[in-house]
Amino acid sequence: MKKNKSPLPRFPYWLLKKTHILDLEEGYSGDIEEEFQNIFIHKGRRKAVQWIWIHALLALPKSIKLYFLGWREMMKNYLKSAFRYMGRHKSYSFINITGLAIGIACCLLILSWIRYELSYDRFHTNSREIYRVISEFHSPGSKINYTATSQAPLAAALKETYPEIVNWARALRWDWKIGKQGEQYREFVWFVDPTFLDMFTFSFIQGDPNTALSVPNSVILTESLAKKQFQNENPMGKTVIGGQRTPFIVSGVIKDIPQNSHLDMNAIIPLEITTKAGHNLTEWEGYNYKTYIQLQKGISGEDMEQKVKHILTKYSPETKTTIQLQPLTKIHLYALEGGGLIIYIYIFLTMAVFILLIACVNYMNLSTARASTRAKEVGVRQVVGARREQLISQFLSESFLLSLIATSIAIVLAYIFLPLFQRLVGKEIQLSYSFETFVFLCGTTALTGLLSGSYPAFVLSQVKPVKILKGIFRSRTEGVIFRKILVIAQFTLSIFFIFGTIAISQQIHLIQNKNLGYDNENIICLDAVGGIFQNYSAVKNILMNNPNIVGMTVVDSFLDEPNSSATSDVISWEGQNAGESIPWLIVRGVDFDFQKTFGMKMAEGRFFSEEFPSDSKEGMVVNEAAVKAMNMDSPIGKKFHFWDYDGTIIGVIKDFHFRSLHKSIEPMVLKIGINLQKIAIRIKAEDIAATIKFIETEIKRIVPGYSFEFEFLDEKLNRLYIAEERMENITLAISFLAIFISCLGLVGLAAYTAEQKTKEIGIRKVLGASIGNITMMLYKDYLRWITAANLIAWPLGFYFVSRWLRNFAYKIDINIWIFVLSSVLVLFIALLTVSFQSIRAATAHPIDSLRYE
Amino acid sequence: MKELTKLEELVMIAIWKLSEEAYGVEIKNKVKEISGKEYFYNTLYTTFHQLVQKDYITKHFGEPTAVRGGKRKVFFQLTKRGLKMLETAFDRQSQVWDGITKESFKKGKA
Repeated sequence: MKKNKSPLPRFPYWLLKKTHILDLEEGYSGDIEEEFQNIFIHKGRRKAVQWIWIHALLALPKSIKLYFLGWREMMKNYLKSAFRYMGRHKSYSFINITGLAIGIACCLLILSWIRYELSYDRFHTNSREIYRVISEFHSPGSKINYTATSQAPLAAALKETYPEIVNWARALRWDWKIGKQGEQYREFVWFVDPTFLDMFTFSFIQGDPNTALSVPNSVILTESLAKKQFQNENPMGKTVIGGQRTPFIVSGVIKDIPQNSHLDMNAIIPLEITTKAGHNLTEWEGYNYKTYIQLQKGISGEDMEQKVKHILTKYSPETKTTIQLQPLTKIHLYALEGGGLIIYIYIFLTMAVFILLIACVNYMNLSTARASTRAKEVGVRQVVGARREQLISQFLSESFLLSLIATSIAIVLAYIFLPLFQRLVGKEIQLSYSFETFVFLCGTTALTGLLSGSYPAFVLSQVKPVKILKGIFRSRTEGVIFRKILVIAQFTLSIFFIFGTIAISQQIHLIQNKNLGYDNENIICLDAVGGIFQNYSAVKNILMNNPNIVGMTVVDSFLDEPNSSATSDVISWEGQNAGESIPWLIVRGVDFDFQKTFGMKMAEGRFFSEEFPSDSKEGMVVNEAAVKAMNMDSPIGKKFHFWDYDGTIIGVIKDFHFRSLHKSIEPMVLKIGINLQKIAIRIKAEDIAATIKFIETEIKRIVPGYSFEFEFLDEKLNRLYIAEERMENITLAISFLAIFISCLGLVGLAAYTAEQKTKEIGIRKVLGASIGNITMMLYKDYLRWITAANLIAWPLGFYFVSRWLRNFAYKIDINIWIFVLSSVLVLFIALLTVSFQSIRAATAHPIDSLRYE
Repeated sequence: MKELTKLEELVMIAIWKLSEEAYGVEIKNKVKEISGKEYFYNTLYTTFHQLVQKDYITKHFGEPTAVRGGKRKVFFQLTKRGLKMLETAFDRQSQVWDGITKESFKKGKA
């Protein structure tokens, strides 16, 4: 039997009904159903279903329009009540918005910094294919040593063996004096193979990249250096003098290298010219050249690294050195020994997220705590017919509104604090207007809105209307526990941040005040260029006549700069057992006055002296670390050999720090007269300006045309720890903000608690409680919370700080007092914040509080 | 007085002609019959709503029936105002088309 009724397909029917025809709804849907059944009876179900679908789809645009019309009306109402509520509770809204705005602004700045750091070297077209060759020096019983340089012929050898390598180039980076005659200044000069210009992306303003480096005596200047030297003249074809007297012809001008590149050159010179200065570009000895290789597109660097790792054994079977390929884009972020900037990026990213979280927690806390004040509104809405989804969307739209306001303020804040932040991180960071930023802002707004609004929405929409309107609403216990957890989490983070800040600043203090093994104050560093060597003794005689000049010496490089070094295959000594070796030996060229001028102490034997003529040929002084590495009992008088030098150890100098304290002291040999090019002058602390003036005029008198540029050694040294100092500043700033935002939340919470307990306080006072009793009662909760926060923050802080400290060879011990100090500090700040509200509540007259109903 | 739209006019004529039987489905069929065009329910109901608002028609409920899923029919009826409005429309139409017959079109001149 044919049925005379068929069920309506639900979805299209529902869609059709969405066109709400107001009061005619019943007739409307009835009509649809009737016609559906008619078609079903006469033409069958298929036709009927077809009919309803077509109708539903054709009516869809209107349904959507109507839906949004209704939505808009609801939104208007929600926003209106949100604004009213915010207006009525100004301090509450202020706390929420300020917290969120600071949090978002902080995120915005930190993320723009991270974006900047991640952008390093990525502007090169081939950035993904270029790798730098790293040499790893292995030796039993000691850590692996790394350098970013390798032997001169390596690159060509690699290219010969592996067809995957498309291109290679070597580079030497010198801090060199270059410029027109008499106008030479220190610039970073890169000596490179001509292929360098093909691998990396430079934009030429003048000159042809294909031929600019084909003549050994050519030089490419950056735009700013060209401007500095030649002002508005055309620099092409002009001559500049490099170092003492080497002339170069300008063959090209390139745009300045962007700041976000590790190629920090101001001038580029063909590497070939260094052969004239005695460099041998085919010799396998010495790891002196940065080597870059470019792989074919699609070749994985890791696979390639496995292939080339042990290539050096092909050229010297004994070697324990392997090589590594470091992607160009990682050079800036990853230190060779592990760690590096990337750690800071992670740390600050985490901190930014935490700050935002703290701000969100404030909002959640305050709005759940204040739920009771809104309960009536919720009750009325429910009675009038608001469904739970509607209440949830109301509270969510409220929190979205708040986060939108906060984001707008945050953008303004970010712009205001941008210059300060730039100084803090020491980089020219810009807030970008890119699509990404837009997405980030929308994302944060939505996320903050959702995060901070979801819990209040959930809690508030759950209450039963009858109870509320009868006035027996009470925030449920879960809410209280949840709130406690949130506050504890906030304070855990605050304590953790303070802990970190203290530890970092202590570590930096330690580094800056560590006894380096010599006196680094009042030492002036000068370049020995432009004919000063020819007249060195004359200069020295005159300068030493000044009673304010204590000592003067020439060295190969200053204490913080890269030194020459020798590897195990070119080192040997008297009494060396088979299998013993020094993986890495620093070679330092000095003169007779080195020890006297810097003030190092001798452990054994004596320093070089002009009284022993043999010293300058075969005398060698080693440091204590070297003696230890060689396992030598009585080093004085033993034969020692490195590179091509044979000699006798005449003394052992006490260990001194000549490099950044990230590294421990490495074995070192001192020898007279190797590669001397810098002058150090120790002066007295009195009348420094006059002494410097004296030095300048005297040197210029003897060596005309010498451009006098000096630096103090201690300032030079401090620059090594700039990364840490910045880190300290940023953590300090973020900790401050974290605590500030937490306290903002605390103010709100304290005000609320005091308000809730008004009656209790009144009764207690009537019964004879003192102000102290009551304040204590109000403090008790916070004390408990902060204690709990401490218990969580301590192990956390200990773990992360000790991980960070692993970056340093010399580090502080994490003392118990750091824990105590950070805890006490937070406790103090928190109680101070709370006390205003508490004391006000405690001193209020009981009559007022009991009458307030 | 404001003029009626074409659809309003159609709907009102359909209601008038249907008299006692004027509810959604029938109106829709009638409109199709006299104009040759099929309208959707949501379009028609929007018009009903507007006409009710303008007081040209009134509504009253019928009995619920099974075929309508237990929902009542909504019947419409012209009000006096509505009838007067239709009359005005008719007059205006006649005035506009005055003197034009089928013959005029055949001859091609009025």
